[in-house]
Order: sequence, then structure tokens, then C-alpha cells
Amino acid sequence: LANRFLALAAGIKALRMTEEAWIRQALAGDREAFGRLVEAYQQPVYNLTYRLLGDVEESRDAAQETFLRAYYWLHTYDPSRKFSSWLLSIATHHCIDCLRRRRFTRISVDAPELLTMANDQPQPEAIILAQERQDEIQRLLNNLEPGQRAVIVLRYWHDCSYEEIAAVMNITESAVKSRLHRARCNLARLFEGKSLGPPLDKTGESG
Amino acid sequence: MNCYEISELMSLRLDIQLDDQKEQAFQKHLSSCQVCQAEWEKWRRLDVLFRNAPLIVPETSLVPAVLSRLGESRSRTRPAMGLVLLLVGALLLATLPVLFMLNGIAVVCQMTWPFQPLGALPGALGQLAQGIYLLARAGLVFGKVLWFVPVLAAALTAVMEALLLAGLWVRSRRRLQWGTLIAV
Repeated sequence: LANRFLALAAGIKALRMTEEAWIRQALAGDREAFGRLVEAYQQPVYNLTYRLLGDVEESRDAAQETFLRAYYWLHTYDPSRKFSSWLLSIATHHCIDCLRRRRFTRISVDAPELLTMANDQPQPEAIILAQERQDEIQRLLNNLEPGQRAVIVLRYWHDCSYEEIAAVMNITESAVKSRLHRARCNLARLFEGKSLGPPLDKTGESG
Repeated sequence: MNCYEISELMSLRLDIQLDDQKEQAFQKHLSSCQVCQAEWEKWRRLDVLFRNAPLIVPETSLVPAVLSRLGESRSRTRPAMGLVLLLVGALLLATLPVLFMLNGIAVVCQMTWPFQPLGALPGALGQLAQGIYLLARAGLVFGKVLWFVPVLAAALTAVMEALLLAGLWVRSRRRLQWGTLIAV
């Protein structure tokens, strides 16, 4: 076990060193190196933008914009911070801006484009159920105000601690706690009467 | 602890952030309160639903699109809009010193101020016209003593407005940078 742990630690260290090298090269004007950074982080960044915006096209644009801003402001990146947190921070601020602007351009944000299955073939029940859950999750998220949506997404999909969320969103830890609490209160209220969550056994802990 | 205090702890408990004392109080209350039990069950189901939700990935790689856009100028639209706003604002604000200055010239030329009836206009427009009229009268008082005072005042006002607007414009240009710096 100790050996495996050491190997894992060495792997993470190697990855960080590679990442640092890519950042250095990108700073020196090497676009290919920046492309590798995009390749490495496109999934978390896209997931964040999709979960926040709930629209495929818009989230793709927002993810691209995040990387463009990252490239433009790469010289301001502080290497003592995690690069992923820095990127998520740019993406979060950009998406919250988009959501606030959207208030003035769209009357309803209640009917977003949900991810749907590409073909019309009959689907196994499990896939249909999973899709329904996805739609339900996105519907719940879309009903939260931008700041609350962001803390929920960072907490659940990006496994951020309170401290990391505070750093990403540039707010205090106590603000993170209260936002998470309010967000979950709202979700619980919206969740009322829904039966999409899996039943839990009485002894099991959620987390 | 009462039901309200327990409900306040639910979010922290989901993230395993309660200390021993609060944890015990939470358990104790929950074992005796069916309302809170039902609420907690709902919170846990929500938590499980969100914890098990998958990461959504882009259908195709973002790399080509990002790399092809790297050369784009990043400060294209905002400064342009800032410039338009600056010009419109400057034109609007310049109306006042121009009137002030015209008044000075009018005094020099022994003419009378012609816009007094504008004060009779209704509503906000009338108030604005009245304001302009009073400003012009102030110019008239100075103008009787020294004709160049209103001209000087107009010039100074114009310079101050230009400085103010230039400051606003620079600020609007830098807002993008600040937004990113907050993130940093």
C-alpha cells in the first residue's frame, strides 16, 4: 500500500511538473503547449460551464472564453495556486456574468436546452432513468440564483472544499457555508414531491 | 436544540463539518422528531442525487476552436462601446458650459438672455430648463462684472468633464482585467 501511495504521489508530482512546463512554454508564446493545457482541463471547465448555464452552445462558448481569458492573463497566474482552481475561478466568474446578463435578455430561464439522446431508438430503462435524473438535476440547478448554483456545482462536481470554493469565488468561507445552506434549502423545497432520488437505507450515511 | 437550529446544521452535516457536540445534539433531536427526520431524509436523497451525477463532457474537443481564436484581439468591443458612450456623454454634458459661454458672449454683446420662457415647460423638462436658466443667470451676474469669467468657467468645466469621462472610459476598459484579477 505504501508503495502504491508513493507511486501515486510521484505520478501527481510528475503531472504537476508537466503542467508547470506547459504553462512556462505557453507564457513564452508556445500555443501548442497551451493546447495541451486546454486538452487536459477542457472536461472540468466544460462541465462547470454546462452545469451553470444549462445550455450546450452557450456552455461551449463559455468554456472557450475561459481558456482564451486564461491565455490572455496567463502572466498573472500565481503558480502557488492550483491551475485547475484558477481556471475554474475564471469560468465561474464568466458564467455568473453571463447569467446576470441573461436576466435582461431572456424572460424565462426555466426552459433550457437539456441534453437529450441523439437517436430515437428504444432505450434501455436504466439509460432513460439516468437521463431523467440528469434533466431533473439540471432543472433544479437552473432554478437557483447564479451564486448559489456556483457553490453547488463546485462542491458536488469539482469536489472543492469550503476553502477552495471561497478561493475560486473570492468570498469568505462563512459566505460559502451560508450560500451552500441556502442553495440546499432551495433545492429541498424544489425537490418536494419528487421521487427521483434513490431510496436510502436507514443506516447508510451519505457522505 | 429546536427544529430551526437543527435545520441550520443540515448543510454542514452533509459535508461532515459538525463538531462532536453538535453532532450529538443533532442525532438526539433527530431520534425524537419525525418532522426533522423527514426533512433530513430529503436532504440526504438530494445529496446522493447530486453526488452521483456524472461529469458532462464536450462532444468534440475544444482545443482547435480555442487555438484558432488565440490571436484575436481581446479588447475589441468594450473600448469601442466606451468610446461611443464617452462621446455621447461629452456632447450632452457640453451643452451646459456652451450655454454658459453663450450667455457670457451675449452679455458682452449687450444682448438679453433669450431662453426664459423655457422655464414654463411642464414636468422634468421644465425643471431642467429652469436649471439651465438659473445657471445662465449666474453667468449673467459674473458677466456684468467681468465678461471672461463665464468663458473661463465654461472652459474649466469642459476640462473637468473631459477628465472625468476619460477616467470612466479607462475604468470601463480595465474592468475586464479586474474581473479576471479578482479570479486570480
